Amino acid sequence: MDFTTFTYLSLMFLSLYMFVFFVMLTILNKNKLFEYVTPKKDYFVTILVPAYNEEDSIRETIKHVMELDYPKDKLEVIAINDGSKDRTLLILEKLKKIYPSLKILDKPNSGKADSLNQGIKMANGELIAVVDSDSFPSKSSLKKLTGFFDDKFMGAVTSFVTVRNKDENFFAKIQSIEYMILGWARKLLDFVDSVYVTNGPLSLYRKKYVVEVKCFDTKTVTEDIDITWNLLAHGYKTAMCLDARVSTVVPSKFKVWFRQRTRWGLGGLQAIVKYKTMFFKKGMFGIFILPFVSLSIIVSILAFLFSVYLISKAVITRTKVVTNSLEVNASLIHFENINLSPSVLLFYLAILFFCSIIYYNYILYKAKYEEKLSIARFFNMLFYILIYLSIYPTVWFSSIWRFVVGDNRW
Amino acid sequence: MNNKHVFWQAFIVASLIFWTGLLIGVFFETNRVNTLTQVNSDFETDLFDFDMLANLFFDSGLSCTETHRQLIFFADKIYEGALKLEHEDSSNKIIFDLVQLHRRYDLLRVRLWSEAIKSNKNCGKKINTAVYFYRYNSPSLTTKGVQGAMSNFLLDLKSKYQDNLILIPIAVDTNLESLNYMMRDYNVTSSPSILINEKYKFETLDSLKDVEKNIK
Repeated sequence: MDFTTFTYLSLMFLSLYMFVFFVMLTILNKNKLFEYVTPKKDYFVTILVPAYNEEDSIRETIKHVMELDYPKDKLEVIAINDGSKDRTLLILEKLKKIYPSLKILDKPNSGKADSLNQGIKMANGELIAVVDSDSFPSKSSLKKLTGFFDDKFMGAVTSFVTVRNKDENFFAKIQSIEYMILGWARKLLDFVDSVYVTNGPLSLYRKKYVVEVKCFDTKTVTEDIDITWNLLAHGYKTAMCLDARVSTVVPSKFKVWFRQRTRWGLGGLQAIVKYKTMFFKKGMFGIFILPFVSLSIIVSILAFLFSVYLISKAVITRTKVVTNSLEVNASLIHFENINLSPSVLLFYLAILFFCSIIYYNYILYKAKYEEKLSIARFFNMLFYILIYLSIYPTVWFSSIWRFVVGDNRW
Repeated sequence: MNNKHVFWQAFIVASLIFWTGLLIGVFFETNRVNTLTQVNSDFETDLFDFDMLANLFFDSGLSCTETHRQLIFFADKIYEGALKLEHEDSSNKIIFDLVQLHRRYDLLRVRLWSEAIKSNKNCGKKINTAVYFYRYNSPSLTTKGVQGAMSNFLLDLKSKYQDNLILIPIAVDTNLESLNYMMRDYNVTSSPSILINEKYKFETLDSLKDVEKNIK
C-alpha cells in the first residue's frame, strides 16, 4: 500500500468514525433532540444587546427581545451602544420611549467583549442572556433555555440559529444549510456534554460563574468560544436547546463571509493556544473537546492539501500529455486508454458521500429547514457538500496567517 | 452523561464497516488480478503454440503470411491484456503490488518481439515493429507527459498501419535480463524511446515526425 492510499484510507476512517458517531447519537437520542426543561422557577434574566453601528436592525432586535414570552418582572434588558457612529443610539433612545424598562448603556467603542463585561456590571439578573443586535430570538426561546439552569452546575446554554436572509441569494441559502447542520451537530454533542460554542445570536449564562471566570476575554476575537471554553475549563456544564430558535443574518457577499469565517478560525486558534495546558485533563473538555476541535482543524487542512496535491498532480500530468501530444500531432484521447474499472477506494468515497446526503437531508427535514423536500434543496445540499465544504479549509490558511502575524482585527 | 459509551461503540461500528469494506475491496482486487494472471498464462501458452507453429511452417517451408497473421493476432491480444493490466494497476490500491505480473507481461512482450524478429528474418522483412521503451516505476511528471504523448502517437500509428505494424510497449525498469540484453544489442540506452524495425531510434518528441519515414 503506497503513501497516498494509506493517507486516503486514514482520512476515510476518520470521516467514517465521525459520521457513525453522529448517526449513533441521533439514533440513541431521537426522542430527546427537541426536548427542553421546564424551569422550576422563573429566573431573573438580564438580556444584554451589544450594538455597534446597527441602525438597520437594532429596532427589530429590541422589539423581539422586549416581546419575549417571559415574565416582565423577571426580565431586564440592557442595550449597549458601543460607540456607534451611525444612528444606533438615537434609535435606542426612541425605543426607550416605547419600552420604558429598556436600559441603555452608552460607552465609547471598546469591542463586544468589553461591552458585555460593562453590561454584566450593571446587570441584576441571576442569568445573563447575550443577544446579537442583528438577531431576533423567537418568542418562547428564552423560557426554553432557562430550565437548563435548574442544574446547579450549568454555566451556559445556547440556542439554535436559523438564517433570516436565506432567500437573499444562493450563498446565503448555502449558509442556511450549514447553520442547520452545525446546530444539529452541536445538539448531538450536547448528549456527550461537549457543547463547545455558545453562539452570539442568543446564549444564556449563569452570571455568578461568568464573573467567577473573569467575564468575557477582551483579547480574543471570538468571545463566545472563549467564554464557553473558560466555563468548561472551570468544570461547569454547557448545553444546547434545539427548540429555542433565534434568527440572524449571514453575509451574502463572499468577501464579508471570508472575513467573518477567518475571524472565527482565528478565535478557535487563540482558544486552543490559551487552553493548551488542558489537553487530556478536566473531563470532556480536555479529553474530547480540545482534541476534537484541534483534530478537526488538522484533518480539514490535511484533507484539503491532500486533495490539492492529487488534483494538481493529475492536472499537470494531463496538461503535459495534451501539450506534448499536440506538439507531435497525436490524438488526445484513445478509447483504449479510458479506464473503466475504477478503484474500490472511489466506491468507498461514493458510499460515504451518498450516506452523508441521506443524513443531511434527514437533518434538514427534522430541523424544518423547509417544509417540503425539493429538487432545489437537494442541489443546494449537493453544492454544500461538494463545493462549500471542499473550499472551506482555505479559511483556515487565512486564520493561521492572521494568528501568526497577530492580526486581531474584527 | 447518558451517551458516554457512544465513543467506543462508534469506533467498533466504524471499524466493522471499514474492515468489511476493505475485505470486499481485497476480494474484488484479488479477483481482477486472478483474471489477469489467468489471461497472461493463456497468452504464454498461445505464444508457445505460435512458436511451435512457426517452427513447423519454417521447417516445411510453408506460408510466411500465416505466420505473420498469427503474430499480429497474438501481438494485439497481448497488447490488450497489457493495457488491462495498466488499468488494473492504477485501480488496484489496497494490497496488490502488480510488479510481478507486470514483469510476466513484459517478458511475454520481449518474447513476442524476439518472435517478430525471428519471423522477419526467416521470411524476409514484412512486418514493421515499433517497440516502445517506457518507465514503469515513478517517472517524473515531465517524463509522464512525454510518455503519454508517445503512447498517443504510437496508438495513432497502430490504427493507421493496422496489421502492418506490431506495437510492443515494454517497461524498461522491471529488471528483465533478456530485455536488458536486447536493449544492449540494439543500443537502446534511454527511455522513453521508440525503436522502429530494430534500426531507427527515436528518443525525443521532436524526432517523432520522422518515424513514419521508416515504416514500410
